[in-house]
Amino acid sequence: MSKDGTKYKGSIGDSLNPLKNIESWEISDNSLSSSNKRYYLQNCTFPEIASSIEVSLDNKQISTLSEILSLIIKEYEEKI
Amino acid sequence: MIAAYVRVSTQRQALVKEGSLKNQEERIRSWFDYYNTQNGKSLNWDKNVVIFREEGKSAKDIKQRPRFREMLDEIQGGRIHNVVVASIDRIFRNIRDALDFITLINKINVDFTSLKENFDTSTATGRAFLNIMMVFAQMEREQTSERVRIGNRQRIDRGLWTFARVPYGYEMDKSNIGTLHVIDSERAGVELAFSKYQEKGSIRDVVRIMNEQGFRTKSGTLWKHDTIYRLLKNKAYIGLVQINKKNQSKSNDNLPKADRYMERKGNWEPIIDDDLFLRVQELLHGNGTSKTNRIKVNKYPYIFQGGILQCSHCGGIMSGTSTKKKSKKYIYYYCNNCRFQVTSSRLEGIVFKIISDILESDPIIKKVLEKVQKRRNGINLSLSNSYINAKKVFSAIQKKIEVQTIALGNTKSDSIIETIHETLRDLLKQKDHIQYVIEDLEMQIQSWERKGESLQSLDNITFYRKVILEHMSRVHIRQIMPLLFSRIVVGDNRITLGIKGESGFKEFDICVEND
Repeated sequence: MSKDGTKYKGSIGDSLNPLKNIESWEISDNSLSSSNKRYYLQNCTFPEIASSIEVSLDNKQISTLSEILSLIIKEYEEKI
Repeated sequence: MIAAYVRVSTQRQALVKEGSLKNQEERIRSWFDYYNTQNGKSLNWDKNVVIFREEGKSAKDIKQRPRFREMLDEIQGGRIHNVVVASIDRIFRNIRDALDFITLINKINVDFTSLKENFDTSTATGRAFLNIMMVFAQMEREQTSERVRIGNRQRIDRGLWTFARVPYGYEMDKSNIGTLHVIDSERAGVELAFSKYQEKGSIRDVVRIMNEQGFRTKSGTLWKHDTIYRLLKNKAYIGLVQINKKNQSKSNDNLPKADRYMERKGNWEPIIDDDLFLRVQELLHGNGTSKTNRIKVNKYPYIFQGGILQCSHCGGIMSGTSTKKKSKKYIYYYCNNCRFQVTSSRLEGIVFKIISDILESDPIIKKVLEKVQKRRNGINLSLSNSYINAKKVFSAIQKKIEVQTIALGNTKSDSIIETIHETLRDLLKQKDHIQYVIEDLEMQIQSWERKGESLQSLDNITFYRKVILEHMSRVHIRQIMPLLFSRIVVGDNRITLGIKGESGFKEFDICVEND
């Protein structure tokens, strides 16, 4: 549900903060079941994908990523 | 009436006092004096000669020469009986234009005199000679143009910038012509234009943002749609130089070598990386062919933007859209090319899971917390400086109060006493205000000091990881998507994640089923 009350069908998880309930999903190393979808990884595992991404990030990208994530903390701290 | 036609092809030539225009006029004037003497006439230069001065105009195209067109009107109106030029190349460079002109003036019995070549068109020999001269003039022009094009091609082959206009973001190395250097202030403008176009998908938005943020073009003017479009299309930003771009789509077999499209690596540092440039080109192409000419801007924050999502059926770029039925909004992505579509839920779950896995990485979270710490230190420093300044102001006010109080004890004048009371009231008000500011700053400093304690401890890492997970919005996800994935290819029941790593491009296949 968005702020204006519109229900979003087709989007997954919480519309505003979609990672909020991710722990409630059924997850193994190579499969994932969310509320209405099942994913099977064919030639890899989730940790392999994550580590590939981690390796692919150069310093500039890590800096950009950490800047975005640190702003989430900043927004959170300004709220409390 | 005699028409004297004089022309120079550049403004610079026209402005030089002793330049070509003046010389041409002087030569025609000498001819005019000779003409008077030879023919026993007493024509007056000011009354009988009209000068058509064409300044800064090339002879290439008569349509671009207003004074020449004026002269033609005068000729056709029967007011001119002789046209005089210093040299034939001042009036024509093109056989067709010359023949049209000669045919016209012969038809209405107007003479044509060219001083340099020493001929007139009243005789058959003169006309034939004129035609031959025109052939040579055109051949010379074509040869010059060909030599310039071949020279440019050779320079481009060596990776040199060979054009007069240097792209925004760069400057020419004056000691090494052809090599470009990045101008840091303009680099920021180029990066902003590309990243904003990737984010917004609208040139109009990029123009607005660039102008609002104070960026100006090389000539100091505001950015416009066409200047931004050209910037986004310019391969110089990925370190390439191109020539004959207009022939890019044509077959080389049908073109002379000098006219063939060529692309080479330039001798300069790229500003934009290849992936971003490619995404922007795909977006530009997609927008150019879509009916709306821009990405639909919706309130719903689609997480796949900037050309990252591709259709497995045709390779087209997929964009987010929605339909609304009975107050419910249905979100999906569709291919701009073949209209293949998938619901957003089919794609998003897997991406969310991978992002949450990335957040498990201690080095990344530690880097985030370093940034948070740095920001806090900055805030602390700024608060401390404000606190010190506020204390200084407080002491100064206190001192003024003391001075005014002593002055009050030393005077008996009612008017002075009244003035001092008024000053004291103001000072006490200021003292109260600054006292409040100091207390507020003390509280803020204490609060930040508490937050800053042991940010890198294990508890804090776990805590802040959870904060990020719970508070990450779709807008945040959209921002980090291009950092994590080079592309995501979507088919009916399959998603392929493309990640560009140090050792090349990696792809991961995922099957999707409905529950």
